[in-house]
Amino acid sequence: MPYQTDAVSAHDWPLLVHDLAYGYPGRRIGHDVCLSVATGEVVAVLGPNGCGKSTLFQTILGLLPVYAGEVRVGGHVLGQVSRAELARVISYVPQAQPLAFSLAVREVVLMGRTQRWGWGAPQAADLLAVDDALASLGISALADTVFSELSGGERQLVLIARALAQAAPVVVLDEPTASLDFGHQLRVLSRIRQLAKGGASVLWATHDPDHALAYADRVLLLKDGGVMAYGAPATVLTADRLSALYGVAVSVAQATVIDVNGSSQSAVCVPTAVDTTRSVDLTP
Amino acid sequence: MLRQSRLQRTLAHPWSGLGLALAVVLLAVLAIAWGPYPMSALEVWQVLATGMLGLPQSADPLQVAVVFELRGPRVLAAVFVGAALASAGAAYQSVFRNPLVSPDILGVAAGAALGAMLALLFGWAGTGIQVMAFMGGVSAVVLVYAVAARVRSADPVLVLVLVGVVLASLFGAAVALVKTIADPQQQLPAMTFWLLGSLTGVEASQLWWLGPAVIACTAILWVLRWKMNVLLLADSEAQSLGVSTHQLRLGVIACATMMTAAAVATAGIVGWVGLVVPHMARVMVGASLPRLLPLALALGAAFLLIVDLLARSLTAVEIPLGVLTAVIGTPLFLWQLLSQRRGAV
Repeated sequence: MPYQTDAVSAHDWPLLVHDLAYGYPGRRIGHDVCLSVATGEVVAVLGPNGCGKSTLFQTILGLLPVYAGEVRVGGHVLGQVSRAELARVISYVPQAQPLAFSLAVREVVLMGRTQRWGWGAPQAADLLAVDDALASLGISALADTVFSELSGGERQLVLIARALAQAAPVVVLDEPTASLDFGHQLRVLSRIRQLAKGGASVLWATHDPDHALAYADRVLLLKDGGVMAYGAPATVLTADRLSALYGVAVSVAQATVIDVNGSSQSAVCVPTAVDTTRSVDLTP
Repeated sequence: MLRQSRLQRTLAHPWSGLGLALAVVLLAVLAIAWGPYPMSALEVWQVLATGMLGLPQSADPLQVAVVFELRGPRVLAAVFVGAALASAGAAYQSVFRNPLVSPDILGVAAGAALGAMLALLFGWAGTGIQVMAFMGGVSAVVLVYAVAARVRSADPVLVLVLVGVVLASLFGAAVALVKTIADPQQQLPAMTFWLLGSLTGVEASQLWWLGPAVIACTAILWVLRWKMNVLLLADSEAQSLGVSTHQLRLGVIACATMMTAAAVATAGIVGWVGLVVPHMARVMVGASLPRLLPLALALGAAFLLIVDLLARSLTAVEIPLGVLTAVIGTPLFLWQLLSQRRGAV
C-alpha cells in the first residue's frame, strides 16, 4: 500500500526542528537542537539513557512545551496548532506495552483514525484503512486477536500499523526494537524502512548503533540534551564518538558480506576486545 | 490465541442494542406484574400502553394504581439506578484503566452518604435527604478532583485515585461520627437503612429528575465512547492520537459522577453493581466502549431489576438492596472469575 497522507505533504521537509530548547515544566533538559527529516527519510537518534531522547521526542510530538526555538511539523508550528490537527501530521509509535483491558488488534489500529471521524463513529474509509495497514505489515491474521496476548514483536507491528492507519506525514518511533528478539528486531526495522519508502518522514530513537548504521539515512547523537554530531551514519558513527557517547571502548569495523548478489561492505560496531586472546577476525 | 466468541459477534451486531432494550422492557413488565396483588403481564402491558397513549383506562382502578403509583415507579427506578451505576462503573474503569475501580472511587458514595446522614440528623425527610445526598456526592468528587489537580505528578490518574480513597475514608469517618451522635431510637435505624440501600417507597415524582439525569449523562458518555476508548492507552499515546486526555477525563468523570450521585440519592448505597456488572459485560464483549457501554447499561438495569424484585418478594420484611447485590453479586463474580479464559479481564 502506498503511504497515503492528505495533509500538507508538498513540503519537502515535513519535520524541521530549529534551535530547540526543551524539557519539563520547570526543568530544562536540552537546548540548541537542530534537525530535519525529509520526505522518505529515516533519521535515527542515539544517545545513552537519560540523554533526553524521550523528552525531545515528547516535545516534537507536542506533549511538552517548546522552551525556545521552533518545531515545524507538516507545515504547522508547534504551539500554534491544536492537538487534533497535530494528530493528522505526526504519529507516534511507543514501545509496545500490554494494555490493562482486552482490546482486539483491529480496535487498537482503528484508534489511529480517531481524528478523522471527530465526534461521530468510524466510517467505511477508516475500517478500510485499518485493513490496509494490517495487510501491508503482513499481520491481517491477527486482526481479531486480543492485543495484550500478542508477543512483544507482534504488538510492536500492530502499533506501526496504527501509525500507518493514522497516515501522518511524520512518524516518530521511540525505541521500537527494545526488548524484542533478534528476528522481530529485524522485522520491525524493515517495516521502518517500508514506512519511509512509502513517503513518511521517520524519526526514530534506538539504542543500537548497528541498527542506525544499517537502516538510517542520517544519525543524530544526543549527549546531555545537546547535539553531539549529526549527519550520515558512516561519518557520524565513529569509534571515537561512540566511545565518548557511551563511555565504553568501541571499535567500528568494516565487515564484508558475501551472498548470492555478490559482496558488499557494511560497518558494524564491536566492543573493543579487552581480552586480546579472544580478538575477532573480521576479514572474511 | 483468543478470537472473538460467537457471543461477542452477536453483540457486535447493529441490532443487538434494540434486542437488549426489548429484553429490559420485557423484564420490567414482568417485574411490575409480580407481587402480592397478582396481575398478568398482558394486563400490565394494557394498562401501561393505555396510560402512555393518554387513553381512558378501562381496567380496574386498583390495577392502574399498582402499575402507575406502586410498582411502576419502583421498577423504573431500579432500571435507572442499575443502568446509571453500571454505565458509570464502565466509564470510571476505562478512564482509570483499572478493572477494580467502582463509581465510588472518587468518593461519590461516601459524600452522598454524609449528605444524607446530615439531612437525617437535621430531621429532614424525602426530598431534603435526596438533595443533600446528591449535593454531598457531587461536592465530594469536586473536592477530590480539585485537590488532585494541585498535585504535580507524572501519573495524574494514580493521584486522583489516591486522593479519592483518602478523602472517601475521611467522609466515612464523618458518617460514623454523625451516626454516634444521632438519636438511637428514631434517627439511627433510618440512617442504617439508607446506608444499605433500598427502593422502598420510591415515588413517581422522583423519577422526573432521576430519569432525565441518567438519560442525559448516558447520552453524553455515548457520544464520548470512541474517545474514551483511546483513554485506555497511556496518556502520551492518547494525546498523540489527538485526544485531549485531561479535558476528556474530566468530562467523563463529571458525567459518571452526576448520574451515580442521582442514583445514590434515590436508592441509597447500592454497592457491587458499578463494580461487577461492567466487569461481566467486559468479559462478554471486550473492553471497547462502543460495545461495552450498551451492554453494561442493559445488564445493570436487568440486574438491579431482578435484585429489587427479590428484595421485595423473598421475605415478608424487605431485604436491603445493598445486602442482596453483595449476596448475589459475589458468587456470580467469583464464578465468572474462575471460569474465564486467560487475559479476558
